[in-house]
Amino acid sequence: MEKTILDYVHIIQKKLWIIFVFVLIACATTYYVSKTFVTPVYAASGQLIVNSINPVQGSNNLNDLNTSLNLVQSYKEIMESPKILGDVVTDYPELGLTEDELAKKLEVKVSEKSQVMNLKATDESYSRAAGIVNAVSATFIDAIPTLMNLNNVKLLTSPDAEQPGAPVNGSVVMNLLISFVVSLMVAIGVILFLESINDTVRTEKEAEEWYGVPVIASVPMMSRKQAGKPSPKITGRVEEPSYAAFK
Amino acid sequence: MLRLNDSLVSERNPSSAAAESVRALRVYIRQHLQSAGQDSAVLMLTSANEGEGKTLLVANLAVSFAYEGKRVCVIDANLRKPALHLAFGLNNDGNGLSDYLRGACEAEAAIRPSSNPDLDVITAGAAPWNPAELLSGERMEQLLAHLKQQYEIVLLDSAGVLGCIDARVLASQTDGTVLVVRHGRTKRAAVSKAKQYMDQAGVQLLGIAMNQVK
Repeated sequence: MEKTILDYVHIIQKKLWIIFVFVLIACATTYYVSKTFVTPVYAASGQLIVNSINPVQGSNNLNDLNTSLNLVQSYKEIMESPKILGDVVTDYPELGLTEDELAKKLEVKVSEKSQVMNLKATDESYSRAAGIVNAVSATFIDAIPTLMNLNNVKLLTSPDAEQPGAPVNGSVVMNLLISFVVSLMVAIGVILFLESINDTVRTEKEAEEWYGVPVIASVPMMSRKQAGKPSPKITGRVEEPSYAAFK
Repeated sequence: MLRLNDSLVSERNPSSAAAESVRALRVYIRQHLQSAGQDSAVLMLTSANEGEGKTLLVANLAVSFAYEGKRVCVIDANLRKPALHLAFGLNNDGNGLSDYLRGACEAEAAIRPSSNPDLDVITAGAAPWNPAELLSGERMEQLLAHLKQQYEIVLLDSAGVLGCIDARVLASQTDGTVLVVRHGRTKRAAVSKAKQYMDQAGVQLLGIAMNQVK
């Protein structure tokens, strides 16, 4: 027998409270876990700009630009090199980081055809993340003249001093939303699956369709309460008409 | 789960939903008999397996017919696992169906009155070693013929169709059967099989009574 959409709706309706409880438990668990076990991680970002090499009036030609664009790639690698990172670690002991940790927390992004370098640091405390960005920028700007015989890097944007509201590793609200949607889908999926592997007779419609026999009574579950007490013989009311016409 | 000795809901709580659906079953059967032009009939309730609620329905249906003023005789033809006496608060001692079938007593001795003057009961009696043979024997036919003269409705409680052949040999002696199906418990294949057996016995399957509907 093909099930129509309506049949599925009925199945879900019947088990609605189970779905509800399941979703509730899932959301509660998610909330608890994201509150207790997940430490929020914050990101601070800053930007550096790489200027053209010969800032001579009128000679700002394509070659210069290309050279500086190529420099940007090298600068990215220099910034991530052990030399710069090592300098940051020794010059800024207040960060309390090893070189490896710093490398993990720091991310440098450059895009082609752009003279801007983007630094991003992630840390459990925003102030430390911002400190990393500042420290790396300053160390890098200091180191470039000696390394490259050029002095063409400037700080473009410093990280915000204020801590942003949301951590980057998913807020509680987002987690809850995801857990709600996923648990709802799982619950409905499981219920439909169980329904489809259940080979018992469960609806009158099915029974009549399969066996070509009418379902002539549907007796509901009888609870003990419903069954009532052994009735006194006289109930004092007429129970039913006597169908005298048919006798 | 309701104990059988508390199960006469039609008598105890006639306004309940369960009693109402038993009345619906009664009305259907009565109208069916009217259109068939039968003024008395032997009906059997059976099911595919044990424990689907036959006894409970038979007892309540019998009470319901009796309320209507019909003369009803209800027989426990489940000789292997008799239970009908529990529903009526009787014991299964003394003369019952199996004793009559063995020839130990006559029909009148096996018929017991109940608290309702229109309703008489025949309990199963002592468990015989050859229930199927007894039920398909001549004495059973005589009994049913005899009861049809005295009562308007004769209701039979029976064993499950798939477990043993008792209900199948009995079916051909009745005017119709109702298949009790327990909601969410009876397998579809089992119902098909039971229906097939009833068709084979050449008895009309009036319909399905769905039990324990949630």
